[in-house]
Amino acid sequence: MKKLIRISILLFAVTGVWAQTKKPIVASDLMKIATANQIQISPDGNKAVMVVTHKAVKNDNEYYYTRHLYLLDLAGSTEPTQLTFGDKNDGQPQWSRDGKQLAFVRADGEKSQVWILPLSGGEAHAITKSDYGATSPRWSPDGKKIMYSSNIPFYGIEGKVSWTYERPGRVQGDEPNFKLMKADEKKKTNTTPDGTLDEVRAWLAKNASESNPRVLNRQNMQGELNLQPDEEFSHLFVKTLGADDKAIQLTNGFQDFDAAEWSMDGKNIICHSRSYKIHPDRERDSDLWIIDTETKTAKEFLTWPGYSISNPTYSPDGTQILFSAQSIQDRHATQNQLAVVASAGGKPQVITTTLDRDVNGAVWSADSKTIYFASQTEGDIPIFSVPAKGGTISKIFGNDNGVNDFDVRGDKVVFGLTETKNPWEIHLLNLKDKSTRQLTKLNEGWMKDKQVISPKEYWLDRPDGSRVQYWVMEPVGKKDGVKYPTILNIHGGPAAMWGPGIFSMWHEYQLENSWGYGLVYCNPRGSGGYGDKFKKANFKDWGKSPAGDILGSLEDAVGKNSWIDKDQLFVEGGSYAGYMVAWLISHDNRFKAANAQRGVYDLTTFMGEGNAWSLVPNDFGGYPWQKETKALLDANSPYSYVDKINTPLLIIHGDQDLRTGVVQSEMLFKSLKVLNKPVEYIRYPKEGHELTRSGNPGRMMDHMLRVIEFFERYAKHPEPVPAGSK
Amino acid sequence: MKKIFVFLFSAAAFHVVAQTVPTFEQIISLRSAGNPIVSPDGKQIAFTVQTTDWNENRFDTEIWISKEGKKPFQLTNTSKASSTNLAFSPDGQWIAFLADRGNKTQIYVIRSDGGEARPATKEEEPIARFEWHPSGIKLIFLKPEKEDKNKKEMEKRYGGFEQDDKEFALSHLWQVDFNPDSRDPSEMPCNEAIDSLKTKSGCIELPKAQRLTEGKFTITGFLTSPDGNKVAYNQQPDPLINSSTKSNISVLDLVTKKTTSLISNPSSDGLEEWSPDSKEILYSTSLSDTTSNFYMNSKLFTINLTDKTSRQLAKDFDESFGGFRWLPSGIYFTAWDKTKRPLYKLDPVSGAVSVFLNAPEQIFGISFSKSGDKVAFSGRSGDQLGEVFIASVSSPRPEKITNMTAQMSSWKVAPSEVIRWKSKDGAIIEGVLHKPKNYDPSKKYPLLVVIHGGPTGIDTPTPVPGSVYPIVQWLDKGCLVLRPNYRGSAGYGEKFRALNVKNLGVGDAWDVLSGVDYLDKQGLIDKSKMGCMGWSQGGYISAFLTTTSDVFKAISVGAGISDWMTYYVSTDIHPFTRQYLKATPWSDEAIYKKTSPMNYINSAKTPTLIQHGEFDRRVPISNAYQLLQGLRDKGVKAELIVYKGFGHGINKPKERLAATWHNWQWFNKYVWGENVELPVGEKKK
Repeated sequence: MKKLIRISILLFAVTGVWAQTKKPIVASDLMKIATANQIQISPDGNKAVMVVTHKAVKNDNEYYYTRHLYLLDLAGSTEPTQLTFGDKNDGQPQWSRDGKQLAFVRADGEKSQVWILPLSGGEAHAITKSDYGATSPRWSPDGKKIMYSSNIPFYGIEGKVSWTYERPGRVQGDEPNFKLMKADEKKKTNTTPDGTLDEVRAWLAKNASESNPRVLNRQNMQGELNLQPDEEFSHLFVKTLGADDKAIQLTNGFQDFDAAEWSMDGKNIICHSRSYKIHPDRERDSDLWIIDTETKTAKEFLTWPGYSISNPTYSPDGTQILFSAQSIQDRHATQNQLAVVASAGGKPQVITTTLDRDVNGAVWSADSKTIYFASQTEGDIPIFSVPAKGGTISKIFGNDNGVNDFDVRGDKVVFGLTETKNPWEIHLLNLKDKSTRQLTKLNEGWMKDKQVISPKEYWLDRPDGSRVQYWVMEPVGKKDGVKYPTILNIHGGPAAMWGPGIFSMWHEYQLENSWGYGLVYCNPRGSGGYGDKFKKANFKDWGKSPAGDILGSLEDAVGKNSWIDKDQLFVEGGSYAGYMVAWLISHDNRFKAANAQRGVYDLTTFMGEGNAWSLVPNDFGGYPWQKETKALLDANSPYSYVDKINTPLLIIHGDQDLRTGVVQSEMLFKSLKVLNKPVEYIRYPKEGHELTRSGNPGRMMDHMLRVIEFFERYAKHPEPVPAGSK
Repeated sequence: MKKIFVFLFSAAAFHVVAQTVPTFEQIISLRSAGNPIVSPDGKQIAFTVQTTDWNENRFDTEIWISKEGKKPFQLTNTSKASSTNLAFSPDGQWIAFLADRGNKTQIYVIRSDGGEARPATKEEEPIARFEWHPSGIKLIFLKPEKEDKNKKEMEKRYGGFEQDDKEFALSHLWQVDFNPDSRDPSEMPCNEAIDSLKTKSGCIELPKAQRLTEGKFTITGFLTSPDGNKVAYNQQPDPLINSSTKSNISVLDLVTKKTTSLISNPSSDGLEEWSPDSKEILYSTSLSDTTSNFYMNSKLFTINLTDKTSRQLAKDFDESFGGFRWLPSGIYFTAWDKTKRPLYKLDPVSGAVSVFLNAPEQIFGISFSKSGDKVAFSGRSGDQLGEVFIASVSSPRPEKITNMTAQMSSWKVAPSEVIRWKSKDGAIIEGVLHKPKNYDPSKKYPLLVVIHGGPTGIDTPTPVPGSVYPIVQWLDKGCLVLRPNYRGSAGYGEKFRALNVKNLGVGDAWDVLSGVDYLDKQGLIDKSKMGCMGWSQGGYISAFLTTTSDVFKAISVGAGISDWMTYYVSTDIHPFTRQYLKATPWSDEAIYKKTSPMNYINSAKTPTLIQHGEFDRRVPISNAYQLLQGLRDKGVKAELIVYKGFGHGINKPKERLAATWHNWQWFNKYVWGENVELPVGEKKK
């Protein structure tokens, strides 16, 4: 016994020395983080293909991503093989039914096209030449054809719309369709600024066809980075392989046919769609449709009163169809469910109700009896299974981690996993013996000598009876008895969920710890992952109650972690959390400095300048021109309290963010300037709302360091911080 | 028996598809296969296929592969550029090739069993050629030296100028390690741990190339010895075209890094092949002949590297040879034998040459498996397009790997026959005669004479002759086409190749006109409807006929010489006229006059189309302007069409289409009296 103790002490000492040699996570580690998704297991179950994303830099400061296909060996233990190369982006791989070829989407030039990579040798070649691009390839069951999807703009579709044409005082097709004309046809068309009204209209139409100016007549005028004057409709095409013939267009008209899959006999294609009676921008729901591949006729397969249904897939035996269902009652933050219907028709059945979570990424088992899916829950993303006929939902994998993407074939589950100790690797789970094996070393190599901080999980009981989950992370090199500045980091959505299984914040958390900050983050009411009631608990109440959960978590954390310096608290957050940061500092003066990213600050303005505007009617039950709602919006808008802000504030926004436009951050900034408050404003060129997740890697690093640098102006560290020391 | 025959016959007749005349575009779009390389184990054959990319207006070459006799498939796919110079790794697992994928021409490697190609080099200068080192863990390559940095600075200050024949980049040999297991470094960013975006040492990156040769000379070709210890290379003082006469052979010892000069005859020495035991080198040489090596046979020798003794081989072989492969069983090569090109075997001991294989009729580009039991080559017979074949060496019955000829299965193509006649001075001249598909022996046909370049080129039977001349379409219109192998052509021995010396043009015209007379005497042609055309030397002979003859109703001069003095001073190969005319214009002006079309401009009568590439250095465009102005001054119908941006050849599809149309218009107008408009706008399918 004595001997044993000595050994363990020795071990401890060795570990201690070893730990000290570990290096802190730094900003440029972002460049090393590789991810892999879009996993597809081969038909024989021995291989899988995945898309690996790397970040790279050339010429000093040109940052970019590469996305290439890799082959995983599930049977043996061969290292993953890179299949595609070059500076193009590859994605959406699909195995041919005989496992000998891969169809995938490659962006080489302006438009994405479907390419085929033979696995017996040879480079990939394009099989589509679609003017509007081609995506979502699907092999026909006989392996001879590939179905793909292409977005055709309004001007490229013949015929009349099935809804009331929305250009006031004008009739559809009453001007020349310049965007479809060739150069010589354009020349022949009579246009003049000084002619008849028809000629003037033609001249105006010509200008508009060159987006100079853009003429907007649709409700959803904003895309992600640019205005979108033209509606686009998703249509299906079938290309016969090995033939020079053009692809056959399966669907037509002013209608969308999305998420299409072949039936097992290749005779039908199931998808979701809706015959529009109102402008597509006003239509929020879809039904299941079926297309006869012979006759090319499309018809409704399933409409389900009370539900918007989508993403159908046939069971391997062809007898059932699995799909997503979202209740349209009480739309605010409704959870997504899985449902099954017999392919012969019949009564559909929701099979995931008992879980009370958002359900995503469903895959059939080979025997058509079980359905596997992933679901965000309490900071993790586990994989669950449910009998196709409904019944007990069981968790088959996951704890303190997150499954980002997965595929199932036979006994094999291949999935991408985020854990605190490693942001992303691909693992193989054997369903029979429950054994797991890591298949990749995407990040393991560079992380070997890195110091990683693990979050500590807490639950807080709120006065109204709800429970809020939160996590605390210590600064790197924390010593006992010393107090450290701490950042309260808040998530957006508001329906997002953070936790140890969520990849998007992995690096930022660790970097802030490396810079000597403690960290507190929570999932306040309105977050996903805690059930329907919790997700909807911020209805008409974006500010006060969620703020209570957030500050409650912070105070609880301070109480339970004596190292948190409550006089050195900082707060940051993006999007809805940009809103929340502004809310907190306009109601509270405890923070030394704050950072609000891509936020909304005035809910009435949000109606107009962001494509996410429908959050206003959804979450507040009305519109600003309704007196009661207007009062609610004003009461919930941080801008109403702008003069109460005293905390030094860093505001950040992407120039081309059309999800939450820049007008509000400009308004907030200018008002604070007028009020002579300490404020700095950062604008990123060429970036939209997703800068911190999928933006230019160089600007992502800049973004993180700019926040830290701003906090550093006000933070007093008890000792030199690991990341900032040489 | 009879019944069956009838049945078979009718079945066959039933299957005959109505044959149509191909369009000009269809002919330019013909895919062609070549450069086959057989894998070391003899089981795979890789070769190149050229296709026509009308959108990008270029010809695209990519690598195809056939495994174990199965249907070939495309292996490489370089967008906007070609994949060329393919080579199997010694273990047969990889195929390396050259491609410019937006980052200068680099060596790429691709697994023959799946996945896309990745770069094996990252050089700042484009790689010109490479070889696998026999060990399989190194690649040896040739690339130009870095551009002089001063040049850019000079241009900044003084603008653009260039000293003629003085500014060039020398090329040298390098070697680079090849690691089959390494990943593409651009996929594996690897940075310093703290703070830096700098690439960390010890990370995966492409191995750095090491220089093998250095000095004030340029390397034009090289061969690694089979034992991997040495590299033999051809060197010359500079890359200028005329310096090839000064090329010598050296050997670099890869172990000691020592270079030995091996062969340095006064005239050009050409490295051909290593002996299988790495002890000898096969080379060709013009010895001290610097005044007639343009048309005389070069001689073949082998030299022993240890005792430096050399022996001449194939002494009695009277034709230019090339593409040598030295195996334990003998030395193999191909050479023209009139319009055929057999595969020959040479006994390295006795020096005797014998025909090894003569079917198909023409064989090019041979490649052997490591054990020497399999040979791949490209070739064709007179009624085929070029195909790739494989044969076993012990009992060579070539099997066709490709089926390029299927492309023209529904086309009316040109039947060929080889005819021969006596020229004015008694020389026997051969030519290829094409008759229309539905030839009627009772009719007399218009005649078009199409003359090849070179002069050491050759015309052979082929179903789709042409380039910029729409021969198949003219045949269908109703005419005969004669393609003469005039004196000086390849394939008929050294003496024949020298028959035009001091007699350029004059003798060529005898050969063409005697051929016309021969056909006329046979009663085949309508002499009132004849035309003549050709490119380069063929353009020159056509120009000579424009000013010295009036038998043709129309002539087309493509990139032709109109005045040898103009040519001599402005071309990039000045020795050409010195060798063929045995004089400079200043030492013997009379011979330059006698052989120049311009000398006879006053007697010119024939309407002449002149076609020329804007930046032609071989036959500078001044020749075109000289002929044009002369003809215009004399009131002879003449047009010049300049193909913008082109050199000596029209090597892009769209301009080749244009040049074809221009000839179609010209001859249809002046031979047939038909006006043809050049169609405008996009071609409708």
